[in-house]
Amino acid sequence: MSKIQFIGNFKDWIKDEWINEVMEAPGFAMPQNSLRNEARFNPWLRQFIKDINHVHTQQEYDEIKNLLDKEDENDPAVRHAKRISLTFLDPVRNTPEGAAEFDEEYRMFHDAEYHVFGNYFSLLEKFDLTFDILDDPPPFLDYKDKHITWWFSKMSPGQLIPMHIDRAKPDIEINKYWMPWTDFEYGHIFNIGETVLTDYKAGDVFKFNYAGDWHGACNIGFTNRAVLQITDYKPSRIIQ
Amino acid sequence: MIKVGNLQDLINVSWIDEVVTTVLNSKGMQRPKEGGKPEGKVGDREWQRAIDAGYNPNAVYFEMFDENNLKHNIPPFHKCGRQRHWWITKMKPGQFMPMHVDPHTEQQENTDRFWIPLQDWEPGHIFMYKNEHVSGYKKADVYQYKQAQEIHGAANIGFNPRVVLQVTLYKEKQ
Repeated sequence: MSKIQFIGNFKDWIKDEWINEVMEAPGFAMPQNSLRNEARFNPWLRQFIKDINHVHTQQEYDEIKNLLDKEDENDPAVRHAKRISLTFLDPVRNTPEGAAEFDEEYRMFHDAEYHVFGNYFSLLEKFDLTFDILDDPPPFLDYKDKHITWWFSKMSPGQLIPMHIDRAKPDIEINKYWMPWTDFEYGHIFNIGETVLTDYKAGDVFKFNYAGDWHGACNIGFTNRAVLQITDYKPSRIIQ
Repeated sequence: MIKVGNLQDLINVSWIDEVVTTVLNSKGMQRPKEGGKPEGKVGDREWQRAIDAGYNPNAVYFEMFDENNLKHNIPPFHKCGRQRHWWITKMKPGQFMPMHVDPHTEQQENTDRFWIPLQDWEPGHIFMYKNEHVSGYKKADVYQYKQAQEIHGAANIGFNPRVVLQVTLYKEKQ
């Protein structure tokens, strides 16, 4: 279990327009492996999914898969959809390609009777926003020679993400920063190990040193909750 | 929440495993879908607040068992001259109960409320009392609410159903 370290409040770094945009932007609904998200990047799937925020049903999945089987595999979009997207989308069926990385986790969700295509929270990353936090890097971040990834998770009342371990190789030195952009409210739950972080203020930053801890979140409160998450690690090779 | 002890130190708890097995294999009253809107001022307020926040009053957030649908006799806790009300909640993975104040406590006084998990704690089994998270407990540990009318809520983001007994001792308000 990694130590949870509170490293300060950096609300002054957050621009008002950033907060407004994060709270207003729809982001895309997680879990990641769903048709609507894949459709953002794949024109073949996109023609069948008009509403990106629509959560597809198993029947829709089957219909699209049947259509895809009749398409020309020489079309790169079809090939991508067939070889990457659909296998990626259907880890529960244990298809051999693409899904291996996700299999264990999603099988666990499935066995516990979570709806693996459910709408659990909204994810916002650079792609979904007009700003990049690294254009004006957060002052607590030591990013020299490090690879940085960041995203926001936004959770409406009633949404959740089951307990899970982030995908990371345990031998990589990694830092994770958890920075709420909304004040703590009763029912805003971030659970890591036996701990639930409470009473925080927007702009507080908590640091963890390993992604391999079980953690999860839910919102059983009455307002939306938005959290910036940043991961840094030293890649084995740096391209100068 | 104040941990006041463990039932195993006080009474025979061989009934617990049997009750848990029954609850896990039975369908309880679906809440809030089959419960409807609670009565009273507190009920009105909590119901409306949940709807305003986007919760669905026709969804199933957890299942409830009490003397109407559970044949087991929950062993008698001392009533201390008061009335007793008990129920068991079953919360499957992905289910939750939004933060709330229990409406029935509005009609009660001299109230003591107890929260008694019937299984050992597992990661992802969340019970919040205001900003307190109750975790690391053992089967049959007994927790008492500091105040009967305080806000609390629960969620299961783990991988096994969670079963909890709740007991209230009270006097009706005159």
